[in-house]
Amino acid sequence: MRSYRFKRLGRTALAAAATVLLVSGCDFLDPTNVTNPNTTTEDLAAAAEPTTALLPGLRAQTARAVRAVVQTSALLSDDFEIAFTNVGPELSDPYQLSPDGASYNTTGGIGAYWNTQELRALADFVIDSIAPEDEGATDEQLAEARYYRGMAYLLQGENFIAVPTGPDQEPTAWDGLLTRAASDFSAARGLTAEAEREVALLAALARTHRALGNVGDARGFAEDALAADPEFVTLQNYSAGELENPFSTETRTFQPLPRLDFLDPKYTSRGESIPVAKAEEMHLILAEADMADGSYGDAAERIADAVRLAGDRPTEEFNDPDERLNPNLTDRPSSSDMLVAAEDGAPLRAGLVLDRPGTVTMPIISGTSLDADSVEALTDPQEIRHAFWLARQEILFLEGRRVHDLGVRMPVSQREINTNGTVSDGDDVAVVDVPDYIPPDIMDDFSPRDPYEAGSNEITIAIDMNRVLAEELVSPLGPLPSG
Amino acid sequence: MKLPMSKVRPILYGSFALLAVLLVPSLAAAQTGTVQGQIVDASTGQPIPSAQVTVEGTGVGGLSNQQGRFLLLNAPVGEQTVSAVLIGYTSEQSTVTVTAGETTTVDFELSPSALEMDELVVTGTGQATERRRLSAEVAVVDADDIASSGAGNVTELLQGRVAGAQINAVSAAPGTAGLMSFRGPSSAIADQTPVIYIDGVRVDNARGVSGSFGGEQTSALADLAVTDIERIEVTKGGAASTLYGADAASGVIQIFTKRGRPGEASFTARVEQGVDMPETKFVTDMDFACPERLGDCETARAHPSWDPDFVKNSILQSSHYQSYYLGAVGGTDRVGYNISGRVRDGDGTQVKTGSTMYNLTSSLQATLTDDLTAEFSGTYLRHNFTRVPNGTTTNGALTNAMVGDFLFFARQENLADALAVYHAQDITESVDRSTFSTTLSYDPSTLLDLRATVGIDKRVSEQRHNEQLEMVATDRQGRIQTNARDFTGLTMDFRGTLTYDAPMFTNTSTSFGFQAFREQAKTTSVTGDELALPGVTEFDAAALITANEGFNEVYNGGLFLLQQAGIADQLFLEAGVRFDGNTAFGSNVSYQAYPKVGASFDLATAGLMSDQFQTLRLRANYGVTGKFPPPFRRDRTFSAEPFAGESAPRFDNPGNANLEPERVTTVEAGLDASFWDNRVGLGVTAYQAVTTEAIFNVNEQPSTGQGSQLRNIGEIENRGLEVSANVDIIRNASATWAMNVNWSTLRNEVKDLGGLPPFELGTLGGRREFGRIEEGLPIGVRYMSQPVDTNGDGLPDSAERGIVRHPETGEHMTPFPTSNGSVGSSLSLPQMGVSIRAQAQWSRGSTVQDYAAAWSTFNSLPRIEFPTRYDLDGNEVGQYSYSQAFNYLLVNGDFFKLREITLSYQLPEVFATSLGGTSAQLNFGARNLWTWVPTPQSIFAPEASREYLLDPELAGYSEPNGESSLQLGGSQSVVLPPPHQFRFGFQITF
Repeated sequence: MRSYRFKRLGRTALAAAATVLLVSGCDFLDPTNVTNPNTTTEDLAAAAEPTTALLPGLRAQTARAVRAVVQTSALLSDDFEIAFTNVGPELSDPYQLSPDGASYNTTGGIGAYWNTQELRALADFVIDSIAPEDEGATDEQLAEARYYRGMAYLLQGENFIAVPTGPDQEPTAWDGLLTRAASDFSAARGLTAEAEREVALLAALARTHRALGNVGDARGFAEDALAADPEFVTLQNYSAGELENPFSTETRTFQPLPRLDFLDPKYTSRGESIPVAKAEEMHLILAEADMADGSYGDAAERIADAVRLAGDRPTEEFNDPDERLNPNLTDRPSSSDMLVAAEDGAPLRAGLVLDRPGTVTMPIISGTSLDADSVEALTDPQEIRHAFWLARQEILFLEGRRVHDLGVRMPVSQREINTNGTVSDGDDVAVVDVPDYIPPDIMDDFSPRDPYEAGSNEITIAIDMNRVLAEELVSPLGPLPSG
Repeated sequence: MKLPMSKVRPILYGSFALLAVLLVPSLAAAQTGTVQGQIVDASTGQPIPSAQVTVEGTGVGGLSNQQGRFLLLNAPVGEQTVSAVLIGYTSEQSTVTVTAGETTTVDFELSPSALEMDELVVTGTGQATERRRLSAEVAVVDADDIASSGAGNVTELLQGRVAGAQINAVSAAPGTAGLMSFRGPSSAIADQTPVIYIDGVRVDNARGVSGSFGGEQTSALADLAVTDIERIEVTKGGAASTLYGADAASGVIQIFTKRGRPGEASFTARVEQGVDMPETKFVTDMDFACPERLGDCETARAHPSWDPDFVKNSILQSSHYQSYYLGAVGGTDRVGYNISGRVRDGDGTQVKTGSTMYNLTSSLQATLTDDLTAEFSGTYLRHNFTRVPNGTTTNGALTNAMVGDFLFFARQENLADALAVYHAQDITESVDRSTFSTTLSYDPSTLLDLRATVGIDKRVSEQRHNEQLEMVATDRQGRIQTNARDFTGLTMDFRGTLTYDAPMFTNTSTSFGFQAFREQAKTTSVTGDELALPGVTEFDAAALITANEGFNEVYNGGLFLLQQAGIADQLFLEAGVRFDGNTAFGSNVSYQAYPKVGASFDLATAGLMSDQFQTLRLRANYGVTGKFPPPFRRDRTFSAEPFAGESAPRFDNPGNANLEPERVTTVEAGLDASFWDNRVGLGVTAYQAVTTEAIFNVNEQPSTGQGSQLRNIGEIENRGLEVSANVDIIRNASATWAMNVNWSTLRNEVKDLGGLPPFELGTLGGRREFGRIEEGLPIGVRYMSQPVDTNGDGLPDSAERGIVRHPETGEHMTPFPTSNGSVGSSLSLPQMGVSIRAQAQWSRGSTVQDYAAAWSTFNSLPRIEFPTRYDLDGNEVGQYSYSQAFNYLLVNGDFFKLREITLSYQLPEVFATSLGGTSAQLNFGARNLWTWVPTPQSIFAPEASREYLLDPELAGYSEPNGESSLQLGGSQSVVLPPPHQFRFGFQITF
């Protein structure tokens, strides 16, 4: 009996084991039942409206590209000094910029080369591969996609020497990139019926033609933009906790040049938008065109227009905890009793440094230390050029223009050199292009570094780059006439 | 071989159908008898517990009990060979005649042996096989070693016990476990942790399974408890691991839990009490800098909380440890059981850390019919622990104290207030883990035996980080963070062996099998920032909530065939092949074949050596193993993230239809010798392991907008020598004194980058310069910015990145050692009931990056002095910053550690009986007793650095970049070494 019982038990156990294995184990043991949690090529092909689905991706990538250029431009130029952060030292000065610098070569948020390339590539994908097959794609959507690709080309054409526009292609020089930008913006104008987008496109075209040195077109589009809306602002939005505005958090990590202290922080929260086009810039483009034509008196009036408009823009009260520290933890100028000279021999000016930590009033669209009437009264071409560059630096502060204005052009990234057979280390496109008039290492410097320890309230910036630009007759519209 | 994955299912079900068919006729009764006896030590006469006794060729077997007695039921009638085997002894065989329904007695006297060639191993062998028949090395850690060790988890247990293994503790933080690597890094992308099986079931072995706090992450190895482990087998890759196929390149660890045995229930109760004391050798106490704007040092020093030993007295602590164990083992003629429960609790050696572990283990074996047995083993474990942030953090007390930021980041002016700030956060974690294994064995005749195992490992963890509002060390106003992970692993294994005698050959067998596993890991992390009111612990109260989810899944199916044969019991040959298909392979990649061949020849048995040699065995083998790529990296994908109320897609993985596993081809040769009456045992193995189709993360061209793709383009080589030696110096009735030494060397070289330029390993923002992959040099070779002299005036005037050379030897440097080893000794005084064991470990040739020295420079702390920089005219222009002179962070990684000492005393029997028991024991164990490092540790500034900087063993800071990425160690911020542990135990058996 006992033996029989075990036999029965054995059969029962076997039957149970087999049932458990074959029934409950089926799904788990089926090797085809492994599903990628991300969207694959096959999934995308099944999307009902792929253009509609991918446009938010282009919007986000434009936000990434804009902020990367804004950040790189701010750090590389005289605007900001890197104080406490993991950003690589190659971004601290144009002469230190090497293609393999970790923050320059990165695919992360600060990578200007990468993020503009990814924007162009994603836009190519939408415009060339997805939209033509998508019957639901509208003209307005195509206009939007063209605008984003144009922005990618514009940001690249302003800031880089040359950039390949596809795999294994030789780099396209900056003017070629700008021409592509103009082409995309023009095509987008033909597709859009939205007034707001039309203004943004006109402004983008004005900016593109300025960079290309086309005085007439730059002037024409700037005038058209102002005619469409004399106070327009086109904003790139950001979102706290998602894609954030990098210049609003941990304000102490980047420290502004003391003469720009009153403009910082321009963005007071992580979700603050960054202006990508605004009427002030159109006035300044018109001023530059006037200077290019030798009409310095008209230019002074145009600059004053920009200064007046900037003065009308909104401000915001902000309780700033930033202690304004140097990298060695000593105190930078952080009180309103400080007087700042733009360089040795320049006049000491009050009101440029605010009391911190404390509540400060911040211009969130545009701010400037210039006075419109005084600018209008200027007659000396050098002083007008100087006011022009100072106005551009202050009004377009933290909008990603300064590296271009300084005449610096950035190289392709090391990743491009390593993966694209048409580019090698040491090629012209792989070495930063810095104009001779920019001195190494001192653009961010001032003295005394700790005025409180030095017992002085007089700060002297090491060099006034606006004076240098003015003297050198610098302009994308060609060397300006001296008078 | 072309076999699409979809065909695996029919094979799978077919295999089980075959098993079922084969099992049905077995359900017939046969006549049996019982074999009993006692096993004693031939030199001391003392009983030997835990010896393995089997009736050969029948599957009937068991273990001897504490008194050395064994009872084998259901032995087939007739003449049978009974063998007794135990590590450390030569095996014995005896022929008995079993009579139906009667008990036959046979006793054994086993002689100690320094070399165990008769021991049965099963890992990678298809079936239980004597070691002397294997051509490849399988390391075994036995029950004695496990019981006497004070190790808290498997990585600690294996430290120093396996030649060729590098096992480094990570830190003292609860929930962490050591970093393991056998025979060097074989991959530039994949974690080197071996795969781990418990009773035939593949278990979660992932390393970084929680959020990272300063680089410290929880490891799933931390909750592989060491309770009730009978034996551990280890293969280190190569031919020994070939039968594990596409996932065995890093080696295989197989853990066997204790089984029941026939006889009345025997209960064991064990109580342990102990103390953990922090290792403070590398702690630099309160000499932090006091930036003036935060109040000067005078303010801090004038405060009542000032204490020059503040770190030792207020941040660290000596802590109490306790453990309680109750187990029962026994069985009847057809059923055996082993059941135990254990609670382990300890405060950590840092204030606000601690760990509690509850563990239930059971195993049951039932003889269903005379040739069919079923085994079940299961473990449930609950692990609750708390820790604090260390390492690369600005809100951890220890880090900030040691690098000088203690007041600065707390924004306080005295020590007490600052500590309160750092302690205004809780990091807690709980782990629930269940591992089950069920095996059916069918052994109808001496010709055939079949086994089918199904098992599951389920590990669910949740980590929470609650930062109180007053935690002002961060810019946010409170944080609630949760990191949850859910792992499920299912294993199915079916294997059979045909044993027969072929013409000319003896011990001939053919093994075959099918194995499948599926693993799923889901992770969810949610962070809620900015809270209004205190007291809340739910993240949905936060102003800003971010959530992330991750999912990984892989299925692997494989078949194997293995042929073993012997000639004249002297020459043994084996050849086998494994085929694997895996869902991580690219769509163009078919089944992968992993072959192996090997031979061993015993010169002593063949009579070719003098009598002085009891064994002199030569062995050689060739074997291929694989490492499958990370799941889903074969597909072209798009990711998406939320932006402004929309889901914003983006290019993700570019896709690679040709993605295949890395292949490691190993050639090894060695010898095993024993002489001086088996008192000296020696094992030597030399190997060369070449990884082809090595996977690198290859950058795409930026113009594609797509990041990087895993591609099989590289080649990596590891070469080494492994030596182990055991000597019984004294062996007589009153004392046995033995010594053992393990020593291994490693040479690693990247042979081919497949056309890629050299690249960096895991640099985050380029500042944590871990290492480089460059042809002709080892993986992770030090490549850093360093001072250079550009004008030849002998004075450094610039800085550039390059391979770092040792200032004296000119050699390049690696984060892993070029040699390591251990030395152990045991003394047994059987008549006094005393036995003592000690073990020490050393490591040579590695370098460690002291990232804390970088931090300290912000505060001018004299941890390592950076060199003076000159201008081109030879004038001093100040000191180099750490980012320009990164090589100055390197310290010598050599160490020697007295790892453990254990002492056990068998109390006189009268004592045990007076308590109603049969035996009682007192134990004392100490672990991590003493560390020696060469001083000064700094390589580039030996004259201008602190004498002690860090414990070089610690893998320390890790780049938190996923569960399965390469981790070489060799980089630390501020990390606390595992504590000095002292344990007092009392054990009684009823």
